[in-house]
Order: sequence, then structure tokens, then C-alpha cells
Amino acid sequence: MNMHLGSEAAFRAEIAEFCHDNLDPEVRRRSDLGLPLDEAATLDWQRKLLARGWGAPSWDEEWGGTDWDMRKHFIFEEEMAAQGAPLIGTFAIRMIGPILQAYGNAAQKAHFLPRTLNFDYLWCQGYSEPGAGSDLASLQTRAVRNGEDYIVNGTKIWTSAGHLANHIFCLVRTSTEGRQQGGISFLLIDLDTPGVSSRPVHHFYGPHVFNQFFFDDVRVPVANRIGAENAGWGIAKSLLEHERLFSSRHTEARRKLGRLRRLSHDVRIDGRPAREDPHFRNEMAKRAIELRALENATMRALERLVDDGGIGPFASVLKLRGIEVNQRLDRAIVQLLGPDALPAEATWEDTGLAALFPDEARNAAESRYWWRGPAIAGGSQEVQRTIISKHILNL
Amino acid sequence: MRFAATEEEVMVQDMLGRALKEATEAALRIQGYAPRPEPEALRRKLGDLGLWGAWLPESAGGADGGPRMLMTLARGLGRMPMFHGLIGAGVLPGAILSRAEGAEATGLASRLAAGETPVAVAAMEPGARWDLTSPETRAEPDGTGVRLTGTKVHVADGASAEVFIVSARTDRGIGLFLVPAGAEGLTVTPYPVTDGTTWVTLKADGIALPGSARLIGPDDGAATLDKAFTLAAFAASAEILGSCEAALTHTLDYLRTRKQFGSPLATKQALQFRAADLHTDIEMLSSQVVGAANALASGYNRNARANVAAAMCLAVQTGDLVGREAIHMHGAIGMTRELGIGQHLLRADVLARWLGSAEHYRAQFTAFEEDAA
Repeated sequence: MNMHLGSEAAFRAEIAEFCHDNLDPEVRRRSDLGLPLDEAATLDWQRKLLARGWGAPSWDEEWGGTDWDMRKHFIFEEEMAAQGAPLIGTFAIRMIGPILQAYGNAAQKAHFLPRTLNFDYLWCQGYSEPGAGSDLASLQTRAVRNGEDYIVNGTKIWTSAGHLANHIFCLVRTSTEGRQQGGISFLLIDLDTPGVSSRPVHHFYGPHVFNQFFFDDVRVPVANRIGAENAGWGIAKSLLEHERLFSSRHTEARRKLGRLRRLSHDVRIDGRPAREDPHFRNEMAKRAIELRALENATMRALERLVDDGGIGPFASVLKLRGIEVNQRLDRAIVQLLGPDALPAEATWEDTGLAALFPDEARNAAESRYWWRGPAIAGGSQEVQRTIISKHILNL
Repeated sequence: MRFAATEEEVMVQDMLGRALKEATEAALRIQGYAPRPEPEALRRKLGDLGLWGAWLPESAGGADGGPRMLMTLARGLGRMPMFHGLIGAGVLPGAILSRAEGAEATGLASRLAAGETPVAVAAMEPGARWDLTSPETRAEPDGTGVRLTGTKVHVADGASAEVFIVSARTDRGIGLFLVPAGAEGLTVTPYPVTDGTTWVTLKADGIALPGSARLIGPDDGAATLDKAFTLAAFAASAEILGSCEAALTHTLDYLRTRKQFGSPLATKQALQFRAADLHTDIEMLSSQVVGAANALASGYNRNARANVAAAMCLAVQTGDLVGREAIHMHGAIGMTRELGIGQHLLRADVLARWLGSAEHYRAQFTAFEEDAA
């Protein structure tokens, strides 16, 4: 289905109506503040999406997806975010699902896709290792063939949401010959398998965000390998092009700007609402203008994606700037709040205490701390600069 | 509306690129200067090709090309540092004349579209920075006409003007008056501007003007001026975009060829990262300039004006940064008039000082956004 202006407005209205009817105000509020959802609320939202046929829009129709074109996918993501819908199931719906459909065999698809779609299988990603971050191809976790199994030994770290997951998709080393990238395979591992253990890795601001997983002689069926042996690198790199548009993170930045604007009415500077303070107005305009440009750049990328089928290294431009825009917005919010950004998350559990502070102060400082991460993950900002320099500027 | 260039725009880019290349190759190599096209001949050529005024409405001698065409033209001209006069002698007077009525206005507009520079706009006054809304210059009723008294400064590209459009306070708002350069009581004083162009100041000492000298109706003066300067800011953002693109391209070429400590500068990570950041800034500017063009093309309203303010704000910031970095990454040779890479900074500076700082456009942006909300 192709989107034209009229049908775009209708589609946006359809999404808005769906959210109006289905989105719990508390869930919406948490999303607006950038707070994570608990397990029950996550599952509940996925059930509602599934009932509407929107549980995994980017998947093939055969597996519960849609026949939408890229523009429609983009509008869906944007409008869902604008409506305050939570972003859930990233690893399941956006990563492993598409990979299974593109590279999985019939049995793998039939087994994993339905269970992934209804969140029976909850996924996390096992790429990074203590010695392999941005330089991911140097990963060392070994998988050695033993009959119909691999024996896996090694460790994975920075595993977001690993403590909420029951499955992990991993990059493992199956060969040490030739190029590092050519000796990596893509393996699905049930976290209940004997020999798998984990420890929490707490974020510097407190919460349990990451994990480290240890694999000690873990027996994984060869049937759980996606694609050919030693073909894992290309599979991991094949993130859907339309997902790459969202490397600009503009929908999250837009929420933050909304929060800054709302706060600018309530927070007073020298007795006047902040929005009347010339210095603050200048700062807020800086943030709003750079976001406007980022949104236009994202729309430009979408147009290129529709025209050419890909955006190439432009995704690095979007990621580099998108993270900067998000980080600067977080900082602006915290600076405006001043002392009201002091109370940590637990304060808000006590309604008596919470009443003393603006609602919009919740998770402000934490968001700023959390957002140090995206500049490091998925290829650090310096990796993006290197890609731009090599592949766009030909330096 | 799309971001990618239309077929027609690509054609215009090609024609413009060829004309600029020819003009640069034909330029006299004056000792000590980077070669620079002779502006009059270039404007005439672009006028003959139908490009110079293509953005103007047909009624004003243009081709109804609108903001997208103006963007294409200004961006292309920005790539080649030269004294083109597009904004001072084209956009500002063109925007006003195309809203005026009468044979004189129409005649001037079509000469302008043909690449001539018969008109300049005198709207700025001493000490007022970018406030165009409260001129001290006044037009007092005198019989069927008016008497004009006051001082105007920073009249861009005014040296060749045969007639000035002068803003003045009247008993009913701001009036825009056509004043011949040779009018009795008018003193025109040229002065050099930091990018090498010549601007003028005007002193009007009780100039007697007929009633027909009033170009725009009494209630539309301020709005017309505002719109003309909005279009000028939009064109300036596109020109700075072209200037940044060219400055980075030249700088990258230099990094690839210049060796230091045994290897090309292009292999140094510190410089690669700086270049990547500049490219990212330019891509954001480019996205916003096209976004502003599309917004303007779909109607002159608060949303369009907010987008123009955003584009010019980014242009001022990015033009300044890219201009400085282009000089620095060239090293000492970047300091010379002979190489001329510094012209990008000179020009970006002139446009920002003249039309408004980043802070100025941020304040505008916020005001338009609040009004729209």
C-alpha cells in the first residue's frame, strides 16, 4: 500500500484513535517520561497491538506482519511515538524477527517466529564482549562443533534487558582462520540451557540495566544456527534499512522537547515563567531548531529510502547528530529543573513526596545518564565519524 | 513536497554551474587575488538564460519558480565566492516590486529579472540593528506628495542603483517610497564592506516626492518589508549552504594532497573527525533549507517563517564554523587573499551581520512557534 497525503492523515488518525482506545494513561505517562514498562504492561500492550494486526508491522504478512510500504512503516513508528505509545520488543520484533525471516530455514521460522511474536520468547542480544565493543569482529566466544551440537564457551556483556529475557541471539566464533569477520556464526541460545549463568551489571546511576552472560560448555543444537556456518557477520549487519532511519532517534527527541516546553511554563526563573527568560528562550530555540533540522534530515532519508531502497552511510550522519540532539535536550531539561532534578526515581514511589516536585522532573536526570550509552553502543560516535570520513568524504 | 531536486532544478544547477565555470575561467587574474567572475557580465548571462529572476512571479518578469528556484540559484552562486548581488539587488527589491502596482514597478522588476541592478532597498538605520519596524526617517505630507527626511545605512549593492526603495514613517504606518538616485536633497555615499563589496548610505534632506512615489499602500508597508527580508534571509541561508559545501569540498581536496609528517593530511584522524562533523552540520543545514523552501512554497505563514528562521539560524552557525575550519585546515595558505578560501567566512559574516545573528533568528523562531501553537 502506498501512502499519499490524504491517506497519510487518515492513517495517522487511525493510529491516534487506536491509542486513545487502548493506551493506558499511566503507560503513556511513563513513555513520555522515558521510563521503562514492567513485564505485565509490556505484554498487555503487545496483546493489544496483536489484536489490531500491528504486533510486528515490518514482518511478512505470512508471519503476522503487514504489506505496508516504507513510508507507511515510518509514519506508523512516528505516530505511535507521538501518541506516547511505548517502544517495546525491540530485540524481538525489530531484530531477530526480520533476521529469522530473511535467513532462517522453514523449521526455524515455524518454531521461533510465532513464539517471538506473542512474547513467549523474550530476546536479548549477545554481541558485545569484554574485549569486543565497537571493534565487534574481534569477539572471542567460541562455538566448537560436536556432533549435532555446538559447545559454546565465553562471555557476553552489556546485554540490555538480559535479566528479562529467556533467549539470546549471539555472535560466536566458529573459525579463527582468515578475516575475523569470516569466522563468526549466528546462534540462538535458550537461556535455560545448562552452563549459562549471568550477573547483573548496574548502570552508573543505579538501576540494573545491563548483564553479563557466561557460557561454560553450553550445548546448543546446530539446528539453532541461522544461516551458514561463518556467515553470521553479514546477518548481524543486515538490520532493516527502514530501522536505520530511526537511528536519528528523532521521535524520542521530540518527546523531550515537549517536556522542556511544558516545563518552561511551570518552572520560574527570577519569579517569571522560564519561557519569558531571554537566556532560556535562546537555549530552548537552539534545541528546537536542531531538532527541526534533524527531522527534516530524517524525512529526506525516508525519501531516499523510498527512491533508492537504502540510505547507505547517511545513517551514520543521522545517528551521530540524533544522539547529540537527544543528549543536549536531556541536559537542557535538567538545567532548567535545577534542584527539582535532584530526587531519584524511588522518591516518586512515595506520592506524598512526589507531590512536592513537578511531575515532569521524574526520570530527567536518569534519562541524561542513560543517554550516555547510545553514544557508545552500536558503533560509537567515533565509529560513525570514521564511516562518514571514509565512505562519504573519501578521506 | 520532496527534498530531492526536481528534473528542472537539476537542469538549472547544470546551467548555472556551466555559466559560473565559464565566467571564472574568463575572469582576469588580478595579481594577488583568487580569480573571481565579473558580476555584471555574469548577471547578464544568467538573465539571458532566464535564471536570474526565474524565482519571481511571471507578472514581475520571472518564471514563477518560487522559493525552490531561488534556493537553487542562491545555493549555486554561494559555491563560487563573488560579488553577485543576488540578495541586495535582486531578492529584496524583487520581493517588494512584485507586490507593487504600476508601470514603473513592473518595468523595474523586469529589468531586475534580466540581470540588471537598477534598484536597492534602504530600510536600515543607524543604531537600530535589525529592527526595521520603527524608522526615524519620516515622510511628511506636502501638497499631493511627501517630503522625505532621514538617514539610511547598510544599503546592500546600492552603488549601481538608479533608484532606491526607502522605508519611512508616515502618519499611517511604514511607507515604502521610490527615490531616484539623482533626486534633489539625496546624498548617496558609498563605503566598502568587509567582504569586498560596495554598499551605500543615504541622507535624505527633505526630498520632495510625488504621491506616485509611494510604492506600497499605507497599511502594507511593514508587512511587505518583513516579507522581503524573510525571503532575503531564506536566500542567504541557501547561499551560505552552497558556500559551506564548496568550502568543505576544497578543504577535503587539500587534505588529500597536502602531506605532513610523511603522509597526507587526509589520513589524520583528528582532521577526519573534524571533517565528519562539518559534513554532518552541512547535511542538517541542507535538510532545513530545503524544508524551509518547501514550507514557503506551500504558503507564506507562521510555519514557513519559523522554518526560514531555523534555516538562517543554522546557516549563520554553520557558515561561521565551516568558514573558520576551512581556513584552519588549509594551514597558513588558508590565510591568503591569493587562495581566497577565506572568502567563505567573509561572506557568511556579512550575511549574518546584515540580516541577523543566530540569536536573532532563534528569537524569531520561538515567537513564530508560540504564535502558531
